[in-house]
Amino acid sequence: MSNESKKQIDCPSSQATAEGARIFGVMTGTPEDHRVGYLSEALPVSEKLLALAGDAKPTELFRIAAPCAGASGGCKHFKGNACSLAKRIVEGVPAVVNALPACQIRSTCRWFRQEGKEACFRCPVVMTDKSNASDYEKQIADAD
Amino acid sequence: MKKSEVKSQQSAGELEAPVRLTPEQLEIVAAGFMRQVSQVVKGGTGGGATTGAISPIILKMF
Repeated sequence: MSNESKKQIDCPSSQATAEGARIFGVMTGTPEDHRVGYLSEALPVSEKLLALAGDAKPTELFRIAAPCAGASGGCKHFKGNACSLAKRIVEGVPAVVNALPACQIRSTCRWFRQEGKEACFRCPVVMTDKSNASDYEKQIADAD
Repeated sequence: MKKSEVKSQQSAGELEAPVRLTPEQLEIVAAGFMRQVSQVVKGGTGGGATTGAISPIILKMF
C-alpha cells in the first residue's frame, strides 16, 4: 500500500455540509454562461459566506471541496475505485479554458488525479447544483 | 455524444483564460452573480442534478 493512499483526496464538487468543506471557487459570468472564478486562497465554509447565496443553494454559487467520500462513504459516483462523474465530464464536456486554472485544491483533487489536466480544462463550467439543468446536464451529472 | 464529436467541438469553440479571484473579490462577484440568478425564472426543467451539473455549452455552440 503506497503512501498516496493515505493522503486526503478531495471531491471538487462537494456540498457545504460536508466535513472539512472549503470554498475554492465562485461562479462568475451569467447563470446561462457561467465560469468558476478560482480563489487564490480556499476558504472554510462559514455562515457569512453561505449567506451570499441567499435563497439559492450554496452549490449554485460556490464550488466546494471536501474529502472524497468514495464508495465507503456512499458516493453514488464512485465505482470500481474511480469517480465516474469525473470520467463523464471529461468525455462529455468540451474544454472551456486554454490553461490550467489557478486552483488551490489541485494537489488533492480526485478529478485531477484520475483524469489529469483534461478534467481541469472542463472544471470551470461545472456547477455542482443547477436549478434549471438541461436533460444533457442531468445525464452527465446523474447517470449513476 | 461521441468522443470524436466532443473533440471537434473543442477545436471549433474558443477557449478562454481561467478566471482568478482574491478572497476580497469574492463577495462582490458573488453578489453580482446572485443578482442575475434571482432574475432567472426557476423551475423550468423541474430541478437539476445534485452534483456536477454542467451548463449547456454544447447547445450554445450550435
